[in-house]
Amino acid sequence: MSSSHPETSHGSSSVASEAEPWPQLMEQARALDDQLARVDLSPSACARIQSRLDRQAARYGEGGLSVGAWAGLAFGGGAAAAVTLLWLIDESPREPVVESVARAHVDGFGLLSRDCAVERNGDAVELGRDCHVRLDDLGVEMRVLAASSVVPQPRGVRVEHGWIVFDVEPVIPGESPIHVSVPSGRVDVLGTQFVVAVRDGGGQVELVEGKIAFTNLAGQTSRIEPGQRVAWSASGAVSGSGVGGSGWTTTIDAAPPVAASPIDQAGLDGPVTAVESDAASQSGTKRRSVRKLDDKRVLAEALEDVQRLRAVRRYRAALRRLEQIRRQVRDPEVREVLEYEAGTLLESSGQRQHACTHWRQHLRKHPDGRYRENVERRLQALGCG
Amino acid sequence: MSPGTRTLQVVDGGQPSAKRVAGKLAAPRYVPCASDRPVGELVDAMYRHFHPMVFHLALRYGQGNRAWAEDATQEVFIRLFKHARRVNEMENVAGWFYRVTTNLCLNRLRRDKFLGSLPMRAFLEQSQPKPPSPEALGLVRDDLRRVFEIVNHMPPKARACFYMYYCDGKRQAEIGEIIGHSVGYVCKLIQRVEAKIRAAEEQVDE
Repeated sequence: MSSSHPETSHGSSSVASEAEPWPQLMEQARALDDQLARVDLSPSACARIQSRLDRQAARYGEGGLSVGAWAGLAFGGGAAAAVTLLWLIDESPREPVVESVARAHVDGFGLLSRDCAVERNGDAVELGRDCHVRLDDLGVEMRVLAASSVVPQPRGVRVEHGWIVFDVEPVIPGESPIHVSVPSGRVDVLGTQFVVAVRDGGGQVELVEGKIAFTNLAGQTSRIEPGQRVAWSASGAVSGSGVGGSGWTTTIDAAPPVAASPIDQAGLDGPVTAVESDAASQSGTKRRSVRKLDDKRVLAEALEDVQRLRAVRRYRAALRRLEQIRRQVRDPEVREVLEYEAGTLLESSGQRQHACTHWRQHLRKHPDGRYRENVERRLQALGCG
Repeated sequence: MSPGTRTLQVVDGGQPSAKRVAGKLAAPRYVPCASDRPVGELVDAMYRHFHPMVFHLALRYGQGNRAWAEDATQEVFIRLFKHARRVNEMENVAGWFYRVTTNLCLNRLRRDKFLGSLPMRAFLEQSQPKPPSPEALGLVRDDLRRVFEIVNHMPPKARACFYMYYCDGKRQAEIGEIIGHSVGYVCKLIQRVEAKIRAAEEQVDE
């Protein structure tokens, strides 16, 4: 086979005198690349990418894809019949200052309630009262109790004004926490439910359950326990000092029920209250230490993480968490459990091909395993034999 | 099939999309849309034309992992939104996609290596070096599996240089421009690849 490459020498004496010393292997490499070139995007991938591009186009305020454009993508014999989507052509003019959008997803917010008014205003998103929205990809739900304005950020939101209940799924160990920024600081969320109320620059954060840490503008951080709240005045001052110093003054309120606490109540215009800080807490995030996962109790906790992620359909995050756990486990029985869990996640996420391959591998690795019958049934149900 | 011929890959009824010709990944010329069209339409047009090429590159660098390649493909076109008008008017739009896809894939591979392997490959993990996933092997003919494994065992940049040099016919200077390295470094990477292949050949002979 002759070399088809314009450069026959690249300074190596071992190669300079030979055109292609490994013709068979090189030919195979090209044949391999050719074979990869023949693989098409699956119909589900096409639909997913198209949907994502359409949402991105909407953010640019210039409308979605035309019917003709989508029809053009129905390519290939087997792929063409699988997916068809109809989109309305939106020939709206250049993006106005405020545009009302009524879609299932707006700027990364998934709308969970009907009749939810969502309007974009520059960088901010205006959420109407009684909206129930979800931040895609972060596992954060927001119930809006009064008209609010938020600005989406990479790992959370900034609350400009309003009254919102946040419900945040526990973050995976090793991932950075979710941030909710307010005028006087930032809440680092590790997995919890809390209420943020902001009005004319002043506000308060009440923790309902779980764990949060509040960092003020001076960089001082304190952990907040359920039932406690931190508040600040319109001037932005939060009294008390930070961790390790003279400590913030303690005000442990039994936080009133969320529904009965209108935004006008005391705490916003009155004296600033503060939260007792944990002197041992040094930062807003505390990574869990690595523990022996052959301990069944610890394994159970870790699997709870996975179940929580599965419950909110964060399958990829759940698989990553499983992988973290699996790497630390040596017990073959435990590994079998984790691998079975991974298979079910692959099925749930619609990755049929991956799931089939995974189950076959599972049977080979655990021929007398506890899940043998289940796995065989799953293989039959998936139709992969 | 003789070495110089490749298969035409027609994806839709419109413009024929990327095809391989004489060892080079060459796309038929992209006809730019009118520049006053909405960004969404520009991206849509470029997506229809270039997504086979982008997906192929991602599949190649992603060791045949389809899900990985799909994610990478999506990311390339999401990034395109910021530059759609400028790219639409470029002389060599295919070159932009080639360069962006290659670099995006290399960055993702570096990130994946740091964060941990892809879920499927992780659960099939054996001793080092990691074998390609069964799904990836399913894409490849039996007689090509050995070379598939050899190529996949190379470090990402070396793998990229190998494909660009031997499969796409790019010159070392071009490769250096694409991945942001000097010609000398590219030459070194290619030599390492050749050494691995030579070693593999010698193993087979033995």
